[in-house]
Amino acid sequence: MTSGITRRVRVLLWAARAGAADHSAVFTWKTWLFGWFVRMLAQVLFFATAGNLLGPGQARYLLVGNAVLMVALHGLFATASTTWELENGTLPLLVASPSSPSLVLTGRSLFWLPDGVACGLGAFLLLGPVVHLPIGLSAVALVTCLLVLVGLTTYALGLFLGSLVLTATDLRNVVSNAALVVMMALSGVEVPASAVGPVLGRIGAALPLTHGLLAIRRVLDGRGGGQVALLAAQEALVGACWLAAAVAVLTLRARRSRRDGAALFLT
Amino acid sequence: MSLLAAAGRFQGQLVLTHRDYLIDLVRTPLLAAVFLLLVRHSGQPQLIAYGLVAPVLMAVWSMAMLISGEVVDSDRQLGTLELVIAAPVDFARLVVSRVWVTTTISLLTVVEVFAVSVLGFGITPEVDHPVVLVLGLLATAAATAGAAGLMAALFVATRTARTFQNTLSYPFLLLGGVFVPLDRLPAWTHPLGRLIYLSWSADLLRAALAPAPVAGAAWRICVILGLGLLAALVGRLVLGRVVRMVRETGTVGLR
Amino acid sequence: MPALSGNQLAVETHDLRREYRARRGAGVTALDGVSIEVAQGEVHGLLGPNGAGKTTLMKILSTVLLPTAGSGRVLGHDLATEYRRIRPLLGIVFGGERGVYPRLTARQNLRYWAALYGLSTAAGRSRTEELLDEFGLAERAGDRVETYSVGMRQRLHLARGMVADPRVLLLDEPTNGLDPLAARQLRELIGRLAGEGRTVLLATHDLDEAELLCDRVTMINNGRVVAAEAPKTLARLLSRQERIRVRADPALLDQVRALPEVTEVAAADDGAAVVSVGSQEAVGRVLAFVVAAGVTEVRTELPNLEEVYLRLVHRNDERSVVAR
Repeated sequence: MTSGITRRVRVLLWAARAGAADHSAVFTWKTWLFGWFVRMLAQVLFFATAGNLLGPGQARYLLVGNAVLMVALHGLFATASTTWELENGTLPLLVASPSSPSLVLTGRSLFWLPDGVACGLGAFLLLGPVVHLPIGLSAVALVTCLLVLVGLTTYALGLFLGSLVLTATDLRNVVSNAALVVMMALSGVEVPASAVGPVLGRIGAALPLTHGLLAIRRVLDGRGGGQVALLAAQEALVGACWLAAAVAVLTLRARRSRRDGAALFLT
Repeated sequence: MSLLAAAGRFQGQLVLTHRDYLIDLVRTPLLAAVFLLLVRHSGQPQLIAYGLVAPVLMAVWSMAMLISGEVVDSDRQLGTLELVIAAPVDFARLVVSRVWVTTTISLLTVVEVFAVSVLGFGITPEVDHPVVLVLGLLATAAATAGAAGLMAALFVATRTARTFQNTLSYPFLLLGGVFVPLDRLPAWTHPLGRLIYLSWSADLLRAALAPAPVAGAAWRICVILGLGLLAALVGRLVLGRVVRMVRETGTVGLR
Repeated sequence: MPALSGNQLAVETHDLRREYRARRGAGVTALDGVSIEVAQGEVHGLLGPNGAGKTTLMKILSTVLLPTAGSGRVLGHDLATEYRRIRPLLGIVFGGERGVYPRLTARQNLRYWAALYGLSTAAGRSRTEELLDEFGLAERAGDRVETYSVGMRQRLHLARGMVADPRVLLLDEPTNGLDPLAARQLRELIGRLAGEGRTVLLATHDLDEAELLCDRVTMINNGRVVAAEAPKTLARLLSRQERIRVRADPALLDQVRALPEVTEVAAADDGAAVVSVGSQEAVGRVLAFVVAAGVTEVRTELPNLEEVYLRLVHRNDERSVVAR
């Protein structure tokens, strides 16, 4: 037996590896690049071209928002891939093991993170010139870090939603898609928070992506330093809250399923 | 006709038991809100029709793609695909029969988008050419069934096609001029975009919501139907090859 | 393997009840007062038809399900409250295809579960290689599990259950769905694991398997214990009838049939006749009769577990019908 922390990290890494194996079974580099990545670029372009119709400066605003949204989209895939664990029939064995099933499920879908960051960053670098978005090398580094952060925070939300629909697998795509469109509306992706009114704006502030996207816009505006750091910290805090909620729900469900023999472990 | 009814009933039951299929009925009102927010924020009220048409067409397209993929995929997983293909009904007609139900359901999004517009934004859409709108929507639904048949055929023919199913969304919506009219995209995209019936549907439906008279409505509706028919015919051709392949090798699909 | 301590029982349950709430209507009682005792080092069979409650009992013992009433202990730890102490001591193998990651290799699967059971990286690595060798998976250890045969997959399940070198091994229908050869290989492995002084609890509906592997069996039907004995004792317990297999001409068989002790004479597959006799004492008299008639090919038999099983389950059903 080894110390708690290293043990947890090891479990997390192995769970991530199991998820990555699922990912590589779905995609080859060719299907990823010419299928998946092209589709992501098309979505960013779909909204960026709308900017040309809507008014000056809109194209750039929409390109940035939707490029970062691609990272969030990947984070929300955790909703669906969390339920993949159910299909493997490993959940009862996980619960019976000395490790926590929520730890495993947390690591299980982490493989979307590099995929999402690659899509988001790719959209910036390839489509940026289309809307004359100048982006320097240091800005690229900073934006990349912020994309990773957004990937993690939206992943936490995806995990939370996944924990809710863990046994209702036919709802997983409905829930994650609805969440994504809500984020499009409320997180400053398509229109600034001021355009949705105070109440909806407050809901947007409780969602991941909102602060991270603002931070990225600041970086691209050439404003850096304290404000970006503060926004990043807020984004991290929001993500941590969603992660805590996800772990709480998973733990609760595991405990409850022991008592009532819920479908979770009887499949 | 009885096949159409039976397959339709089957698909209807499937939609009701698998809530996944209703994804677009949930997503579309939200998307409508996003588009109307965009339009309102831009301060260009003449673009409202764009914001109303886009979510409906996105729903119709995405639902048809989802179903055509799932029809094939679930049958393949259940091991019934070979049986269905070997059954003495024309597989293409079967797919189209199953797709038309979902296409019809996806037209419900018209009501949803209308409701979001009125209740959420206080905008009552003005339909200046109601006949053109209704005929345009019906033609679009028919063409969608044809396109879905083609997609199902491709899914049957190649296993990897499922991986590309996601790819069929935004590239087609972009080139189909669903929000930004094809005319506003670079000229080199036009020949390709005009092959996608969505670009004709989008233009026609937007025109139906505008006060200006609609030029050549009948002709444009015919183009939409023609493109749908063309897709269905190509789909049949592909399926014919697949059926021959099944009889020779005993399995469906290439890796 | 940790040393066995004292004469503590490996598994004991007292009056376990488990009900499932149905969404509509009345609940289902899966276990209805089950008490079992399994000594350390014993290979104990749980025998019963599908739906008898075996899997529910296994789930309770593997700590993923709480009993509705009653109590149980594994190696002295309470199932309801001390499950955290039990989990590292248990190895669990469910039958069927599920329970490993099909897209990982066998080696990756074992390393993964080693991590989950708290083995260090080095220990996990060496344990994995040990198990791959022991379970005949070393050659294909680098291939994805989805390419494995059902038999190999099931051996991997068993290896997975052994990853933490458990003191108690719970096997729920491990040979389910295996072809006869693969099932035999797996039984040999289970026999070997049991020989190492481990406690094994084996749920099965295969009587030969129970007879071959188990020191004792508990028969369960409709959530109740029907009998708990050594397989041979159980057979004897039930055999108010003994049987004699003879090879004789039809005329003699007619005479045998006329004897008062004989209840039935039936033809066996191999052309011999199976004579059922009312009581053990009568066997001698019938034997003496056929030997005196010059028959040389004769032997006595106990009914096999299958017949016992069918009769016990049947008897129990009849009884419950009467009780209602």
